[in-house]
Amino acid sequence: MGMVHRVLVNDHDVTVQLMPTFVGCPALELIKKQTMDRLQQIDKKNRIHVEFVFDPPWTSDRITPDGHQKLKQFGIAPPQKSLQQLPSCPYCNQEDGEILNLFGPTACRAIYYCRGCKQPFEGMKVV
Amino acid sequence: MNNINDLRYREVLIECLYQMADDKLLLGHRDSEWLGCCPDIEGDVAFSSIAQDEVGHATFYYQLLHQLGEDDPDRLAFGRDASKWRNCMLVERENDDWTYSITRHLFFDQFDQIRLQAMCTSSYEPLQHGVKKMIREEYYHLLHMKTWFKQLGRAGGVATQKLQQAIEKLWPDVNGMFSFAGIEEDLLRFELIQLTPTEMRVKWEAEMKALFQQANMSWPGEFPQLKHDGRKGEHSAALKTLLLTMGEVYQSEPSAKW
Amino acid sequence: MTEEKQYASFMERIRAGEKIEATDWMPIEYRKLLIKLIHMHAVSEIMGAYPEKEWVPRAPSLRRKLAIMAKVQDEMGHGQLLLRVVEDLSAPLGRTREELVSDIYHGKVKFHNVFHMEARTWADAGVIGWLVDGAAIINQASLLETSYGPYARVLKRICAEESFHMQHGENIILALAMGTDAQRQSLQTALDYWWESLLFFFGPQEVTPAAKQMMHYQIRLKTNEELRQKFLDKYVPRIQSLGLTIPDLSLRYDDSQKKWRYQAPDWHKFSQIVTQNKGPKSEERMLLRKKAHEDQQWVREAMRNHNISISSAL
Repeated sequence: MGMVHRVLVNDHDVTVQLMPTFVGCPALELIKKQTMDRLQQIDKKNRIHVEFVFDPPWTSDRITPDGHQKLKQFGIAPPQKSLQQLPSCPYCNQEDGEILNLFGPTACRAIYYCRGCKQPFEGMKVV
Repeated sequence: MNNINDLRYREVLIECLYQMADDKLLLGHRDSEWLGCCPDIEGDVAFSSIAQDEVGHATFYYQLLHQLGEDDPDRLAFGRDASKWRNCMLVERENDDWTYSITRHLFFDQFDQIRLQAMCTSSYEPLQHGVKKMIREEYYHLLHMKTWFKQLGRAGGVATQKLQQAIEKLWPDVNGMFSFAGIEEDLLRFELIQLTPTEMRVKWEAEMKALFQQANMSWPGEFPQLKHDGRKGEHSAALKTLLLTMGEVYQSEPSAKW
Repeated sequence: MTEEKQYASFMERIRAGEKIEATDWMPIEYRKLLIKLIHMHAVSEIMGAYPEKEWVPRAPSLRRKLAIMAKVQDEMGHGQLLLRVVEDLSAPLGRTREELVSDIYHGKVKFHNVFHMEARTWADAGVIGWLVDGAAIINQASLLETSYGPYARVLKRICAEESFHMQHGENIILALAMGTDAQRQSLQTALDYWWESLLFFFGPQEVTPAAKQMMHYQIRLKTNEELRQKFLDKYVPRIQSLGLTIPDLSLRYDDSQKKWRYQAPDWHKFSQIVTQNKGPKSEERMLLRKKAHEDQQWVREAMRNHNISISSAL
């Protein structure tokens, strides 16, 4: 998702700096906890710290090609390069979509409809 | 220049952050009253998303305040008396009909965009960084509100009538957004903000006049004199009622963890 | 191809575990069963926002306020996705989106019993977030294998997000369980109130003809009782580990039968709630939906009869 800004290693401390996707995202605490738990499992020697940084601001173009693939597997269209472009359908890949709602079930997603396979789908917002 | 050790710098920064945090939390709270009551499901999804962003942004500002030595964010949000709140009155007013709430949010969002842009080079870095992030998120709100405003204005009939009424009800409160309760000169001096309140109002008027034209709505004219200034802690009974509701559970056991 | 042959080939696909798509031919019976199920699901998501909406203004911390707002947003978003799926299924039968919504307050579509109940305290909001969501997840997870592709795909999204929200619900409950005496007591009171509704949630034990048909078409694959047993398997130990007492002294696990024995809830009461909308909050919430829909029709009309759309605004 391109959320990792940097990892600082210092003596016995490892600090992971994450960039929040959306300031009001309710999953931030959970992401922090899961990051800490996972790293603690791998690295039992050092102290793990996770903090959120706003500089630089997270932008949707930070999502990697691998991230794009994983989003599609989840049924979410990855963000386009610009707001004016409509995403292609993550299910059938056709470019025959229309926007149903600039907003969706979460802060980061909008709702679209594919006229090709006749299914609604969600897409990551361009930020 | 960032001189966080300067007493006056801190004082002015904190006052400004209260204004921003309180604006956002109350607007988000009012927006959330619409949950399940919007004209269609799409509206419910949109409004709840927007409300959530506002509360999220408010939380960010309250956290900055806490880092500067103020109380913890929950106590600030749920434990303060009305006279301590620094929001503009526009955001504390009770909801009316759909056009009222859309227009209120539009007016505020346009102001907030200008305020945020004026802080993109703020001397206080934590604020600067947060603002640059939030401005990208606010883009969608303003886009949506402007679209709704234009649709309602051009529709004619009941929709346009109600929109007209909403504008008239909100107009006396608009000027209150641009009040900085006396800290504006220092905000500029300390480079916490780059524009004067007058400059912000001029920008706001330019944007809104263009929008009114696109929506076929007539410009109401001069803003009436402000009767009460929320930024100075002068608030309505509506805010007191809101705070009682918002703090109800928190205050039932203030020392408890929820 | 004759209709008979079409039907045979359709059933072959179902039995082979293939997904039926929105653009495929389907027997009218299959279409109607899907509409019944998905319409109810969509409406349950939408009506499910009401008990929680009542606690958004009173959430006792900024973190909880954000979390509960996010949950309501999620439910509405899911409702919109599901409505779109059922809209497409209903179009050949001449039914419109407006009707799919007005059906709610005309009593023409059911929604889950739990959303007819009152969320009296913050502890109730927590129980809804944990146990009602927990029950819904068990239901939805079992539907992931549904033969109708578009529904399965929306369900995949819903399940992923619901489990996240359930964690918030669980956190609320944990805070209360480990909190003050008053907080712990409010939690026990909430459980006492909600237990019957949780048993009701999965529906009566008898397998109705409609349910049998749905299983024939692999629209759904599990019975109500199988799902209820799963719920008890998962949550009875967890509830008890919090030091709470389940208000059913006869509840016990039968090792020989490998199932939970419990006091049968009053299914007549269930029927009154769900089919006659006689729950404590049924009328009030249906009225809210009616007001939103009918009193604000002028807004929807204004949005339709315009030259500006979201896509042109972008």
